[in-house]
Amino acid sequence: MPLGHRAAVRLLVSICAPLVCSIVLITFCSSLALGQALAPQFSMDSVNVRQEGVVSFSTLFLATDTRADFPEPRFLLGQTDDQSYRLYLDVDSIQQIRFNAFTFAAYLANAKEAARGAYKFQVTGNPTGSFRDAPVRVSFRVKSGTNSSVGTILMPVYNATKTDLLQAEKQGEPAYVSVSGATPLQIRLSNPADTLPVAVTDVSVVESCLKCWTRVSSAVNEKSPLQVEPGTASILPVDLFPNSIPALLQGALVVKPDVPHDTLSVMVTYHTLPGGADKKQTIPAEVRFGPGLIGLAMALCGGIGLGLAARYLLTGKLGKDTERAVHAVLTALVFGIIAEFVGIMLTAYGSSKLVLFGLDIDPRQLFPAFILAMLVSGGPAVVSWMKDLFGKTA
Amino acid sequence: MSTTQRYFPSAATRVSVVALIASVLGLSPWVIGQDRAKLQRPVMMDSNGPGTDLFVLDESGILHKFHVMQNSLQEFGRAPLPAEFTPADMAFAAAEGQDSLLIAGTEAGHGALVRYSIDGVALHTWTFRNICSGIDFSTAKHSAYVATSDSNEIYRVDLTKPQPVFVTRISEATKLGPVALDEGHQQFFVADVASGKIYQYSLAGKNSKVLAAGLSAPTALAFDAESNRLFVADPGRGGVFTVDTKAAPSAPIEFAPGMLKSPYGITLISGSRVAVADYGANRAVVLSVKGDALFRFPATD
Repeated sequence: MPLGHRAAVRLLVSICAPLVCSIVLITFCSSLALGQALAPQFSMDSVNVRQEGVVSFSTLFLATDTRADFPEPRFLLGQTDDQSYRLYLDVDSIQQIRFNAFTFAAYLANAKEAARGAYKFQVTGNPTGSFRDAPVRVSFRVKSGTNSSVGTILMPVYNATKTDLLQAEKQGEPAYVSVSGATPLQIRLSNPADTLPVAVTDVSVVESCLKCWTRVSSAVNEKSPLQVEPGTASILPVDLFPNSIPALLQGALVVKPDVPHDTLSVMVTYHTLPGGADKKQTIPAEVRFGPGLIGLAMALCGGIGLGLAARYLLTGKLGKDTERAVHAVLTALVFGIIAEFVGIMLTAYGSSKLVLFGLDIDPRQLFPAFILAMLVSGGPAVVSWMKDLFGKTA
Repeated sequence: MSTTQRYFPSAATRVSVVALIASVLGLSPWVIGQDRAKLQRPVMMDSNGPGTDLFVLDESGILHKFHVMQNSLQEFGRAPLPAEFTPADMAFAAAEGQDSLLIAGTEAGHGALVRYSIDGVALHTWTFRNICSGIDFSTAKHSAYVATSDSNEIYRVDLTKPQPVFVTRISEATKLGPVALDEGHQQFFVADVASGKIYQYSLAGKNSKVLAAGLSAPTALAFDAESNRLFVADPGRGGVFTVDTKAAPSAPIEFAPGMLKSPYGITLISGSRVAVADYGANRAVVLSVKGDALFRFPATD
């Protein structure tokens, strides 16, 4: 290339390059600005929640989104009155912020151009007051150019300051807990109407009498939650496994039926659906152990008395041939108590079973204790009579 | 009357044979193994002065203590905080010859600032009329700056004095949250959780201005004095952002895009690194100041 031409090209480039760059820059910036301008202005009105509080909202435009499909139940649908815009709230995106605020993603789609995607906004809810988590109808506004539309959406709002969303049925009297084996404790939890469903995801228990329990368990957990719908009640199952001897001793001196032997603090962890924050609520549960030491003693004495009477009727004597009646009665009493004690220890702390006439019996229960005492005090005569009666071996 | 708490049916409290042997041998909990290498829903964090120790509080009120190593976080202890206290923000404070954690929050419906030993023992409590939502500690002044979310006020708490001192009120704010101090320039930054703005307040000039907007729900701040950058954790936008504090207003720039799920807490640690409490991912993530992922706790899911 001739030197003159090269200089001319260089001159042209030096003049044009800034111009081209400017054009590219302006085009780029204006396309960005256009993108922003194309996004309609979206805002959500403050909402009063049952005169107990207010939720205000701030909205932030994030980007245009190619999403065109908004399936339920993940997306809640709202629409402007003139049906020009649809608002989709993504319930999977709901997050609880620890300063008593919540945030979620919302998509605004032009009804006529829904296939072209939607405008994605991030919305932050700011609750004040003392209302409980609830579904409310919230007004929103969309402004595009000179057009302005108003719509509503039914959506959940949350408030971290409100605790104890569930109501536990008050106990009329302490729950009966058998000292032998497991006893199911059923706690009735209700959720007021016009609120959000509540999912109980964890249960923990604090006992006042530490020695009285071997295990306390519940089938409710995060993988198997208990859901309480608004306006309904559900039963929270808790299985109680008392420690027999301490439980018997705990209730030995508490005779009045309305006085609990132990009070359990059942702490339930739950959240509202969808997207609520975890809350904890403690529910007291009063229990009485049964049958109780006094009841067992009475069953034992009754069994001994009946056994001795049966022995007397069958043999004409209370004891052996030369044995005095007082000695025979005392012997029956002592051996009856020993048999009952050994029976309780074996069934409570060993894996042994007490089998009488082919039946598993639990000496911690009133009737089995009565039968055991009757057989011990009645001696071979009563046992033989029973064998003949049932035709089975003990 | 003594009480104990029994959790079920999760296996979290079950002590394995290995753990039992390890505890008998006096080994630290982190040595015990994967059973303990868990972090459930971390909500806030702060580090000690040189950033060699990291303190993370999870949603259930357990304080996790970590040594910051070259390539890992090693948990060396846990301590439960009282259940009746609801924490909102925390700051490490080394004062009066004792390492401690200052935690701002609510107790029985009132704002409270509680100073805990790093073993979780409450040392002192300052009460407030309003809900405490943010805190940072000035080592030079031995004072904490506390934000309130329902009155949008800032108080200074001298650790040796019983009463907080009113500093200012950000009247245009909606709900103040986390606080970060810039001691070099005698200023602090405070986030408005509800409106997504960051305010810059000059302690010398006694005036405030909007430093940055365009955030969704900023829940934690950390100021890097070397680069004059403010790190902002924003779970609403699902990421961490940086703000140039020399320019106001300043647009937040996304930091480490795509690496975090729901960042709730953030702090600077040794080696010019940034630690993030990723609530949604149940982990603590350590990033370089350039935004590269370095390591995390737990190391595996």
